[in-house]
Amino acid sequence: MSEHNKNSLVADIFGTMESRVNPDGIKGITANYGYVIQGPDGGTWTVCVADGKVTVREGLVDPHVTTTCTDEDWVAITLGELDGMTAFSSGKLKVEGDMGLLIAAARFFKKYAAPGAGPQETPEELIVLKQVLSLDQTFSTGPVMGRFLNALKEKKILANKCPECKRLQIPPREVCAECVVRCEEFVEIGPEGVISTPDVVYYASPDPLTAETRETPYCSCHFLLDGCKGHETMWHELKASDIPRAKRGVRVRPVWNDTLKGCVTDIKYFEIINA
Amino acid sequence: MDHKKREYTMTIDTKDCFTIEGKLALPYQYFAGRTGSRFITSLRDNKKIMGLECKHCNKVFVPPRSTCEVCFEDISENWVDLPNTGIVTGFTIVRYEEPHQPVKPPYITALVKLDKADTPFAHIVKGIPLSKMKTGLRVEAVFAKRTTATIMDIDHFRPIKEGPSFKLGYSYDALEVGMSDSFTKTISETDVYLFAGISGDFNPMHMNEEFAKTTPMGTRIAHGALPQCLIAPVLGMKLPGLGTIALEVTTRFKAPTYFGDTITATGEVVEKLPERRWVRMALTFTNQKNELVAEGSALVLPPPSMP
Amino acid sequence: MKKMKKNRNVGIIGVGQSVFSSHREEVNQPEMIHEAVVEALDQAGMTMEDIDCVVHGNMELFEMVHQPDLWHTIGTGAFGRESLRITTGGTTGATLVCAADALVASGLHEVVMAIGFEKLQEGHTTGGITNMADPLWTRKLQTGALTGMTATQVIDEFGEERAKKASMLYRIFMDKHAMKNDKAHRRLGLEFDQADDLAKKSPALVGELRMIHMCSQSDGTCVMIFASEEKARLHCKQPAWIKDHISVHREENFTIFGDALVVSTHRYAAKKLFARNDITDPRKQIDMMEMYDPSSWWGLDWIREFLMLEGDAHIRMVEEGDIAIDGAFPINPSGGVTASNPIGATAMVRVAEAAMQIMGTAGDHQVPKQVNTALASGFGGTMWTVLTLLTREAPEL
Repeated sequence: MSEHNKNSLVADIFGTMESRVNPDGIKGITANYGYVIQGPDGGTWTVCVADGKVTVREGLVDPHVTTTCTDEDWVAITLGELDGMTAFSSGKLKVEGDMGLLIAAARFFKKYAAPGAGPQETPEELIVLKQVLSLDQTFSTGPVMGRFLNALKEKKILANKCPECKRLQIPPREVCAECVVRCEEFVEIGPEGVISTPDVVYYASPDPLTAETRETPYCSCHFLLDGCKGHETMWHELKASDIPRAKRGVRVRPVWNDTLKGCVTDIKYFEIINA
Repeated sequence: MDHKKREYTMTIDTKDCFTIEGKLALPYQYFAGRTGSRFITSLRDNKKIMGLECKHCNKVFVPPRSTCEVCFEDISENWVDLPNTGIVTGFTIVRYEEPHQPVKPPYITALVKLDKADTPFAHIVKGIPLSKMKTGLRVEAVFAKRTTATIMDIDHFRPIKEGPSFKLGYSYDALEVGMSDSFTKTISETDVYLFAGISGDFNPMHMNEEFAKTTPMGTRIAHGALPQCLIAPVLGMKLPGLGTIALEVTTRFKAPTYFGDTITATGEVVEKLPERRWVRMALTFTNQKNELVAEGSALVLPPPSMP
Repeated sequence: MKKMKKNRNVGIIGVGQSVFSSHREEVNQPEMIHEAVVEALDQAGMTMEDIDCVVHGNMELFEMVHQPDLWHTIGTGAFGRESLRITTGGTTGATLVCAADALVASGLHEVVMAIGFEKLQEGHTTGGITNMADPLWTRKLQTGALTGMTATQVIDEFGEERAKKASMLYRIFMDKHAMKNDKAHRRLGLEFDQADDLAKKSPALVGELRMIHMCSQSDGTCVMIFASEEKARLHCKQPAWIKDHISVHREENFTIFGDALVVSTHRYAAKKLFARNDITDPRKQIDMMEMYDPSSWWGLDWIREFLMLEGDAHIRMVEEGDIAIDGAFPINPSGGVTASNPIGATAMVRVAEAAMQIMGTAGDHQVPKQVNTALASGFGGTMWTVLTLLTREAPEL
């Protein structure tokens, strides 16, 4: 099949989508996927997925996410000759709208076979075993971390001070990381302070307790609490709705949970203090 | 040595020490690879166990691996079918309980080396009392009804039901002149009447008391065969015992056996005949009064020695 | 300055790499390792009979299998040989090199095979890294290996436009190098004129760290053969000699120094290594570097740290194309970690690729100038640095 002929498959690919639906893949999805295929054999389509059914319409009809690429690349991706992720990373595939929806789309349709292609060889089966490793653990706080966590129950934040360099460590550690001497002096800091360095996370890692991923975006943030200086920051979380205003130097205060258990998450997050 | 002495003591206030429960939960996946997948799908779909052979080292590996780890030869195409039977080369009994176990304890984990394979692999053995489990047990695979595309598509191994095993009697070499054994039984009226039916011998001396009164014995007596046959359990089950073939039995009758007499048949080894490895035995039959009822001899072929 | 004393020189005489990919579903771990073992042995002109000891490593529990070195004997050929298992996080690959060097230099073994691997598709990388953190504190807030702090700091120092342009430029150079390396995992075919577009459109992961800047998650194995000077000269025309190496580790856990510039270990390691090897002008005295660059932001920032530069000298190196394969100071002719990252192997691949440049076996991505001295870095959380110095001439003992 010549390259030109191949590109003309674009219409056929969209035309056969409804007959190639994979029922398990579209379960629970309600969204419109727009496609802008450029080039002489291109066109625009919207794949509407709702109530366990797929309808393919010509043109763009209220898409939640729109994919743009050339006819050549679209055919290559569909036939498995070009990896979709690679195409996206290298800018060949452009995406506008809710990217998360697009990842699910990979499972919507059964494999496309160009008309006239020989009988599909059944690919050999490769066995995959999926499991979740789940082990119970018990952690000892020790007297230093224990004292810090206990203080949280009283809405107090403690740091400890190095007798030699006078540096504060938060959370308190047994030993000063610079001088390697014991730190026995505890100091109360904050609870209010300023933002030092915010880190807005769009891609979350799984919760080690439940193996589930948390909602994004969220903001891990270094806060410089009152009484601390330089890099003596406390690492915690900034309220998600404050992310647009997150900047170095902005004043914050901790928001506590109703029940305090002696855990770092007794502080729900820090929020910006409105003037 | 001049170095700064560091303080190693620490004031520990245990009121601040407590423990927190946590969890490590991570999803993962394992790829069996092309070779591993073929092994698993063969178990799952065909109920067949397959191995790979290294023709260079003459070894069959189960589970199969694509390279021979000894000579580094690529053996991934040398598939061999294996029988579902094998032998246990080692085992242990797991008694403690733990969440990740495949079955509830106590259970047997064993190394099973299939016939024709050179490597054993671990699996569960069921169907044998724990105290009877032993190395060398012959086992066969039992395939799972609900498959999971894992090694547990073999559900477990169970002992092969061999025929009942018997212990043979004394061999020619084990027999010694002078050895003897016996069997005793009371001969009843019922035995006599049943034997008359079995043999067709309805002679009135056995069956008709009025007639028997006119005989020298004065009452009914048992057929001669009845005391005589009591030597059969001695030769066939005791001395020499199981596996014996009786070649010749001769008997001279000395006294009648009356209904209710208790006869003891005794066989004693008197001669060993090396040319044919036959044994001659002297037979004696006595009653409850220790009177000799009959005597004779037998020539027997003892069973072969046990391997 | 106390120098490390070697009993004899150690040469790298063979390198094997499996193809780095995210889809190696048709092989299990031992089979994947076997590919690289065979290649390394072939290159060194040896068989397993010649190997005295096998050192093996990956990031512990990343594939949810403990002690995989035992399981892997099927593929590694370690059966019947002495062996050692090493795991030091992201620097594992480089630490394997240090271990192999020590085993041969000391006289304990003549020939050592080092194996570093990872089959990340089988594990859960970010989750694994999350579980490295203090369970009572940072684990609850951890973002895994990702942080946008370095990007923020570079932007703060050099201004948003220049910083973003430079990190994107660095990224494209790395991809151009990867296109010449047929073992590399991600070869995107990026062009320089796409820089602005990519910087804007690539989805953000954390802060200004975008997907396009980030390293891969790859499956793969790297195997290297180390031999005593005597054996090395018999088997290899031009071995790559290990001159020196240094390992530095700063934090026992995350955020112990607040939001301070986190990877001070790089400059510290470079300073010590160069001082004891009489290197006063690293840019001139070293010919190229394979840097462990987990993201383009770090790659950019760390040029300054490793080469002991000041001000914006490192940004200018990128802007002026010094870091290209045919540039004045090539960095990562292999494509670096943004192209391929099988963690347990990655740090070793840096040494391997640097060695290949000296040995002259890098094929299409061989730098055109003669490489006499090469530098390779390894990096891992929680802030480890391993720096290795390789030379064309056997060092004086």
